[in-house]
Amino acid sequence: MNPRVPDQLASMNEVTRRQFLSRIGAGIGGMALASMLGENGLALDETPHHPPRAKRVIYLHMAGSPPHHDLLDPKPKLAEWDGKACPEHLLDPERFAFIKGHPTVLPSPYAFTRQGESGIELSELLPHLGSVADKLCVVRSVHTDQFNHAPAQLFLYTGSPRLGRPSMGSWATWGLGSENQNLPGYVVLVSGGKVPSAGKSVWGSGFLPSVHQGVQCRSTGDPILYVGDPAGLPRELRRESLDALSRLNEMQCERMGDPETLARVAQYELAFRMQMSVPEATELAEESPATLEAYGANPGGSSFANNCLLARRLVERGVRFVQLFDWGWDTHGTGPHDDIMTQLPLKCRETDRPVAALIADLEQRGLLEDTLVVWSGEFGRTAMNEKRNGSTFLGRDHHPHCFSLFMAGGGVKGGHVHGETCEFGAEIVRDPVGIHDLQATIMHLLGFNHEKFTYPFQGRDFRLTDVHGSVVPGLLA
Amino acid sequence: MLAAALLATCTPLAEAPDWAREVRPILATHCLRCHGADPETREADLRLDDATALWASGVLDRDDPMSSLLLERIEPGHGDPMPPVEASDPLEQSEIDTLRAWVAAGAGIDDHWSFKSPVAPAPPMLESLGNWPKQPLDVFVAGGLERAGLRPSDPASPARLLRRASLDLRGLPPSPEELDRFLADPSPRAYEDAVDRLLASSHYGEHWAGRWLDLARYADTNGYEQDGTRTIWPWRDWVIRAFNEDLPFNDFTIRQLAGDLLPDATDEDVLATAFHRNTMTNSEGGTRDEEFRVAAVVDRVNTTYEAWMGVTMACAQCHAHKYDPISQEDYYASYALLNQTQDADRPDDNPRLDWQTPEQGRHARTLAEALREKTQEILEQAPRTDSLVSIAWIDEGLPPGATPQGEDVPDARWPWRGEADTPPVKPHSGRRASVSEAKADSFAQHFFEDAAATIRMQADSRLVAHVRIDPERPPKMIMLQVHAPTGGWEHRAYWGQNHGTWGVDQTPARLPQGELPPAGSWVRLEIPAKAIDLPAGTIVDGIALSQFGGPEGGRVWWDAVGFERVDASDHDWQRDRSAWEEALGTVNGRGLLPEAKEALQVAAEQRSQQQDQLLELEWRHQIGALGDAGDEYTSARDALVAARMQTVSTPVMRALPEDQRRTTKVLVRGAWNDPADEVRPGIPSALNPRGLPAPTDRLAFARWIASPDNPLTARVRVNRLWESLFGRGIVLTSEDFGTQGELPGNQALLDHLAVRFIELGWSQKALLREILTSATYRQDSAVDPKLLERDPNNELLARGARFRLDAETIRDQALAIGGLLDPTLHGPPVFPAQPEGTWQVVYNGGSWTESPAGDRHRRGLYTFWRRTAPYPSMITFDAPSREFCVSRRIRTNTPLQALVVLNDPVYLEAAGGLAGLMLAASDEDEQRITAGFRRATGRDATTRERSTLRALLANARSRFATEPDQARIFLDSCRMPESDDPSELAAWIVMGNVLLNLDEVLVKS
Repeated sequence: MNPRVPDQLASMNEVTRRQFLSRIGAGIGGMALASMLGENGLALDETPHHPPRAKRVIYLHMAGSPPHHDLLDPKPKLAEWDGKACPEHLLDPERFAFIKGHPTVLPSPYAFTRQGESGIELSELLPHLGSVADKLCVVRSVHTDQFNHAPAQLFLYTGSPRLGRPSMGSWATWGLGSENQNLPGYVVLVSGGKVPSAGKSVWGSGFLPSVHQGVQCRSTGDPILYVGDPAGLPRELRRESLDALSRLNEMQCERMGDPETLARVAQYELAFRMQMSVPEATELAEESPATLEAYGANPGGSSFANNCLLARRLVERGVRFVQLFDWGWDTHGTGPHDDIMTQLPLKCRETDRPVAALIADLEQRGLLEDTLVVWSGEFGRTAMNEKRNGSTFLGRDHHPHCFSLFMAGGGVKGGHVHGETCEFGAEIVRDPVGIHDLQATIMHLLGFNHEKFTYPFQGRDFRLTDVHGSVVPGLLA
Repeated sequence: MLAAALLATCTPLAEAPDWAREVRPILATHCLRCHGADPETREADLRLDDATALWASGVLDRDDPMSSLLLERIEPGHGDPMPPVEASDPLEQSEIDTLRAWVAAGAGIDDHWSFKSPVAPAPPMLESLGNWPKQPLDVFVAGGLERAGLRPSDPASPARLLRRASLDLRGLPPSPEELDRFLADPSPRAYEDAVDRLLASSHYGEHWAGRWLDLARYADTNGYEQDGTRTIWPWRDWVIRAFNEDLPFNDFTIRQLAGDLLPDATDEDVLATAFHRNTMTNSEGGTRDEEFRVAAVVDRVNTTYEAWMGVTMACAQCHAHKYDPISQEDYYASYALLNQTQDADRPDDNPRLDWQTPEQGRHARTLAEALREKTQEILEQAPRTDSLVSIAWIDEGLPPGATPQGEDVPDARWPWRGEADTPPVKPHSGRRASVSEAKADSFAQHFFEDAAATIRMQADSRLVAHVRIDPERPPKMIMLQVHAPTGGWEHRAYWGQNHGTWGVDQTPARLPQGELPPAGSWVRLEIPAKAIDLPAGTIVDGIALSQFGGPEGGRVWWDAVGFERVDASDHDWQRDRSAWEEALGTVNGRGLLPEAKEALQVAAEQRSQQQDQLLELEWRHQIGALGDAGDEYTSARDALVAARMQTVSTPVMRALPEDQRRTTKVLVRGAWNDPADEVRPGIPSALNPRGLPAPTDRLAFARWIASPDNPLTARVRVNRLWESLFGRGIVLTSEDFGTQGELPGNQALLDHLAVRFIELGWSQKALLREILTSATYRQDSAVDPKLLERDPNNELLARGARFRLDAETIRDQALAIGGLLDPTLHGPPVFPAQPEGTWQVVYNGGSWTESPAGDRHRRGLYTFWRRTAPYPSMITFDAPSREFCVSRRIRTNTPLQALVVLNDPVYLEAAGGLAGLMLAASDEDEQRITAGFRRATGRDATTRERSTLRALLANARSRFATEPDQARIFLDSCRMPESDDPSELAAWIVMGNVLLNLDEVLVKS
C-alpha cells in the first residue's frame, strides 16, 4: 500500500522534500523518501567526485590478524635462520605486545606455490584461493602504526585509533546512499563467535547521522534487530495495524500540517517492506545445491562461509557496504587454540573455499567488475616465534610495520602483487601502503576524492583519512 | 539563511555589507585557509580577517579603494587569479560584488559577535503585536514576527499544552489524573501552577540530567578494547540532584570543573569533578598510559570549551584555528590548566572517592536514630557491674582502643559468634566467642596491635586461651601471636604442623607446642609468657588468633584469651568505667561509635544524660556486661557501623601535589610524544584579554567560565535550554558559537535570555519558568502550507514546536503510558530487556543479566551504558555512544525506528500494559478506546479516529478469535500473564501497539 497523500497537502511537497532530505541524508531513509517523492538524485551534496569503479564493497576482515609469512608473503630465507636468535635489527627499537627476551626466528612451516597465469605465490593453506589468483591484487607492503587489536581495527576502519569516528562503510553510505530502499546500506556480518576487539565502534557512524551506522545482521534470532513480527501476531493483522496507523497519522497530518508525519508514514511502510526483504535476502536455502557446495555454506547455521554467500546476496540486492568479521586469527602460539600448526590451518579451511567461491561467484554474475572485495587483518605478525612463557607451540606476535592483504574486482589490478618486504618479512623495502593510503584508494574507487570528502564536526572538517593518505595508483586497473 | 536575512534588518540596510553575515562567510569559504588566523599556513603574509593586519599588508588602497590589489586579483580573468584554481572554487559574481561593496564602504571588520559579552538589548517597539507578549522574551520574538510580516499562532489547547510542558520539563507525559485536575482547574493561573508543579517534580532532574550526560560523555564503562565497567553513577546522581535542587548554573559549573579545589571542599564537591573522569581509559596490555592520559586531557579541553562555551577547540590541538582567533599556544595554555590532575590512564581509574550516597547516608542515620531510642531501655535491663570478674583480654569484647584487623574481619568487625547465630555457637564463657574461618591450605587470622589498655608482664604471667576446633573442618595448625610495642610480633606459639614463614622455628618467635588439641570441645591452652620472650616488665598491646586451613579449610572458635597472673590494675577497665575512659582517652576513643567518641571528649560532669548513657553502653558492650539486651545492642551497633562504611568508590579529579606538577609543552601536530615549546597555563586572549587571576589553576579557569563576564557561557546555556524546548537553538549550531557556526537567528532574543539568566542568579528553573509561561511557547504547533513554505524550520517562532522525542523519552513515555514505569530515582545502572547476543564483548565480558520487573522498567537514563555495545534501541533513536562530548543529537527518521516501537519486547510489554489499563477502564469498547487514546496522546479521540480504532479492534478480534493459540503465543511475546480470554486481550494489545506508534505520541507537539 502506498500512503495516500491528502490533496490539501500536495502543496507541501516542495518544502517537504527539502526538509526531509536535509534531515535524513542519504541511506535507507533518504533514498526511500527521495524515490517516494519522485526524486531520483542523491540526497546529499556529496555526490561522487568522479565516476566510481566500485559501486559496492565487501570487506573480509580476519580479526586478530593472520600471519603474512604463512599465507601471502613467502620468505624462504627464514629457513636459514630456523631456531636461531633473530638478528638484532629486528629488535631495535621494537616494542612487542608479548615477546620477551631475544626471540628465535620462525620460518613458515608451509610451502608456497605459484598460482594462475600471473604466478602469484600463495600458501598451501589457501588451495582454493589459487583458483582465482588472476583476480587478486595482493599487497605485501601495508603498514599501520598500531600494534594492539582494538586501536588497529579502529584505525583501519575509521582512520583514527581512538573511538568516535565514522567507519569506512558509514562514509560510503553517507556519500552514496543505498541502491536498495528495502535494505540497510551498510551491513555487518560476524563469524567465529565474537565481535571484533574494538566492538561495535568499528562499524559506528561516529558524528555522521546514525542512519549510516552498520547494521549487524545476525545469524540467530532476527537477522536485523526487531525485523520479525512478535510471535503469534498474524502477518495480515500487522498489515491491518499499519493501515490503521497510516490513517490515524494522515488525520494527524491534516490537522497539524507537519510534513514529518508523512515521512513517518513512509518509514513505517518501508519497515513493513524490510520485514519481507530482509528475511528474503538472508534466506540461503534459496541458493542452488551447487552454490552452497561451492561456498561450503550450510543454511540455518552460522559460519564464515554462510556470511560470504550472504554478502553476495546482499550486494546483489544493492547493499552498498558489507563487512565481514571472522574471529580467531590471533595466532600467538600459546596453545593449540592459537598456534600456526593447528589453529591457522583450521581458520584457513573455514575461509579459503568461501572466499574463492565468493570471488568466482561475483565474477560469474558480472558483479565483480564493480564490486570491490578486500581481505585483510589489522596488522602483521613477527618473523619470530613468540614463545610466550616458554610455550612449545608455534606462533607469532603482533607486528605493525608490514602486513599483506588482497583485493579483487572493483577497479583494482588482477593477478598483481604490489610492494615488497625484506627477507624477514619485517620491513617494507618497496611501495609502502599506509592505512590512510588504503582508505584513500578505496574512497577513490568509490568515486570520492578523499581530501574533499569531509564532514564538519567540532569545528573541523573531518575526513576518513584524517590529514594523511594518498591514492595508490599501482593498485588501480 | 532566510531568518538571518529577515532579522538582519535590526540595523537598517546600509550600503556596507555586514562583516559577520555577508563578508566573512565568503572569505571563510574561499580565502581564510591561506590568509587566515593560522600563521603556519598563511601565504604571502596576508591576513584578511584582522583589520590591523589587513591594512598593513598593502592590498588595500586607502586613497583609491576600488583600485586595491585585493579587488584586482579577484576580478574574473585576472592572469594570477585569487583564489587560485587549485585551492578553491572560483568566486561567484554576487560574491565579488559583495566584496567590492565592502571595500568601497571602508572594509570594516567587527569582532565576532559571540566573543563580545551580551548586553541587555533594547526591546523593539511593537505595532500590531503589542498585546501579545506575556513575558519580556515575547517582545523580541514579536519584533521578529512583525518584521517578517507574520502573526503568531493561537495558543495550543490546554490539554496539548500540558503534555508539551510535561514532556519538556520532566520527560514524561501527564497522567490522566494530572490532565483531569489541570483541565478542571478554574484558576486563571492554572497553567502557571502546573508549570510550577512540573518544575518541582523529582523527574525534572532526571530529564535535564539526561541532556547533560551527552555533553559529559557519561557511560558506565571506561571505553577502548576492554571497555570494563566503571562505577561513576554516583556522579550521574549528583547531576540529577543538582538539577532538582536547581543548583545555580555557575556553581554547577565550578563544582564540576574544580570542586576539589574549593576551600573546604565537601565530598559532594569532589564528587562533582567526576564530570571530567568520564574520559576513556585504555587498559589493554602494552598500551602506553601517557598516550591515553594525553588523549584524556585533550578530550577535557575540547569538552570544556564545547559544553560550556560552544567553542570548538579540537583543531587548535594540531595547528592554529583556521577560522577562530585561537592559536595552538592558546590550546596548550588551556591544556596546561587541566594537565595537573593525578589521574593517568590507570587501570584502576585512581584517584577515587569513597562516596556515601545520600540514600546510604539516610539509611545510616535511620539506624543511628533507632539505636539512640533504645539506649535507655537497654541500660535498664543491664545487670549490675560490680559482680563482674574477668582475666581475659578477648572475651566479650576487645580491650579499649583495639582496632580489629585480618582476613576474618570484614568491615573492621571482629567475628563474634554466639548462640543466636546460625549455626549457633556455645561459647566457652559469657555470651560469645570469636570464630576463624580459613580456606584450604591458607592462613586466616584476626588480630589487633593497638590496645590502649596495655598489660605489663609479671615473672610468672601466663598466656591463656580457650579454643574449640570444628571436627568437620580441622585446620593443620593453630597459632597464638603476641604483639609488644618494643619487640613486634616475635612472640608465637603453635600447635600442629609447622606452616608459615614468620619467625624462626623452635625459638620463642615460633615455639612448637605439640599436636593440635582434640577437636569438638573447648580446650584450655596455656604458655608461660617467658617461653615466648615476654619477660617481666614487657608491655603487651596486641594479640593474633591464627590458623592454617586443612584440605577442607579450617574452622576454629576462640574465647577467653588473655593473661593470668598479671597486675590486676591492668584490668581495671573491665571493672571501672573511668579507668576505661582514661585508657580510651589516650587514643581519642578509637573504636567507639562516633557519637561516643564525641561524648568522651566532653568532661564527665558536662555530658548530657544521653552522652553519659551512650558511654555506659559502649563500655558495657566492650566488657560484655549488657545482659540479655547485649545481642540486640551488638547487632544494632554492627548494622550501624556497617551502614556507615557503605560507600561507592568513584573516580574523581584530584590536583597533583605541588612538587609533582607536570610541565606542559605544545605537542607538535597533537602527537603525544612530540613535545615542543613549554607553555604557561592561561585562556585564549581573544576570549578574555585580561587573562586569569593568580593562581592560574583549574579553579580560576572554572570561575572564569562561570563568570557573568564570560561572553559565551550564559548564551550557550540558554541556547541549549531553548534547543531542548523548541527543537533547534536560536544559534542552530549549539556546539559552535565561533565564526564557523551559524549566526543567531535572533540575537536580541538570545542576548535577552542570557542577560536574564544571569539576573535570575543562573537559576535554570526560573528561566525555564519564564520561557514556558511565554506566549511564544504556548502557541499551537499546527502549521498551514503557506507558513510552512515561508518558515519550514520554524526559525521565526510563529508557531509552537513540534518534533520527535529523544530516545530516552520515547521509551520512558511508552512505559508510563503502559503503566509500567518504575519511578525510583538514583542508584546503580539497570539492565532492561535486550535481545540475546547483542552484548558480545571480547574482554571483561560479563553478561547482560536482565533486571527484575521494576528495575527493568526504570527510566532510560538508568540503562547500563556500554560504549562499545550501546543499548540498541537508544542508538536507533540517535542517542550517541558517549565516547565524546555531543551537543546536539541529529534527529533521523528511519524504518529501524519503526521496527523498534512495533516489535521491541519493551514496547510490546508497554502495549500489553496499556491493553490491561484499557480493559480495566470500562466494560464498553467505546470508553476503553477513548481511555487508551487519551492516555497515549493526552487528548480525546475524534469520531473519525475512534471509528478507525474500532475497525482495527474488530479485525484483531476476528483474527485472534479463529486462532486462540496464536493469541496465547502473542501474549507470551508481550510478556503478559495468562488470561481467561487470550484472544480478547491480544486484540487490545494490538490496539495498544498502534497507539504507542502514533506520530502524535512519538513527537512533542
